[in-house]
Amino acid sequence: MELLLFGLSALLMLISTFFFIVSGIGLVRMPDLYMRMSATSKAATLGAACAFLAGALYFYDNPSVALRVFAGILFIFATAPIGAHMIGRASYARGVKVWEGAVIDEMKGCYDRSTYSFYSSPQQHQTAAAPPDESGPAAQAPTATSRRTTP
Amino acid sequence: MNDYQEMLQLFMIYVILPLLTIGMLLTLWRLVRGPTFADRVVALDKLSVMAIGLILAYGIGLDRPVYVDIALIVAMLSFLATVGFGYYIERRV
Repeated sequence: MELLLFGLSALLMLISTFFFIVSGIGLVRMPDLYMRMSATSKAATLGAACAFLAGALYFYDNPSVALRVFAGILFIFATAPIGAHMIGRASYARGVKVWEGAVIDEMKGCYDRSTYSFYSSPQQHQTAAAPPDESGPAAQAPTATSRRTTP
Repeated sequence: MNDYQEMLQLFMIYVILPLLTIGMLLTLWRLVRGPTFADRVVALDKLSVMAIGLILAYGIGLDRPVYVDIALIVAMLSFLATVGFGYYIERRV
């Protein structure tokens, strides 16, 4: 029984180390910030989850450790995509270059630098940005005025 | 404390920790080299995620369950650091 648990723990730790090294190689070799981010946010998350599981299997006679491992895996799986999304969005907004071999850049021109927000198409961006400058207060939609008066 | 446990602890100390160190050195290369600031932030994020694995391997090697708590706290702090850096990259003038 102990041999099985400890062997599984060692195997999970080896798998976790493998994923960590693979994500490190991806971080060094990938040509682009966004590809590097995909390498780290997927493989490193899986590696951390495997390391947590190895800890749970090693401390099998201590149930509170298993609870903490469960919370840790849940937390990492929830927060790693959020962090990667924030970094990717911010760096695209600040103009970090996409790899020159990329086939399509669907978000070109969809970012409005004055409001720090993305729009789903460049035309929508222009129509949404235009009205506050040229139209009078009577022509404005009630939602816009209510949004402006709220502090 | 029996033979299997001791073997696993020696395995963690003498096999897993050097392999993790190789991965951390690869990440450190990107942290030093990275052409943009966002590259360094991504490398720092991955370095802290790898620190979780390092802390867990070390905790198994020393037979101390407290290290699992430390790994959990490092995970939370690394998420906070990533969110803060993302906000800083987007809003900086």
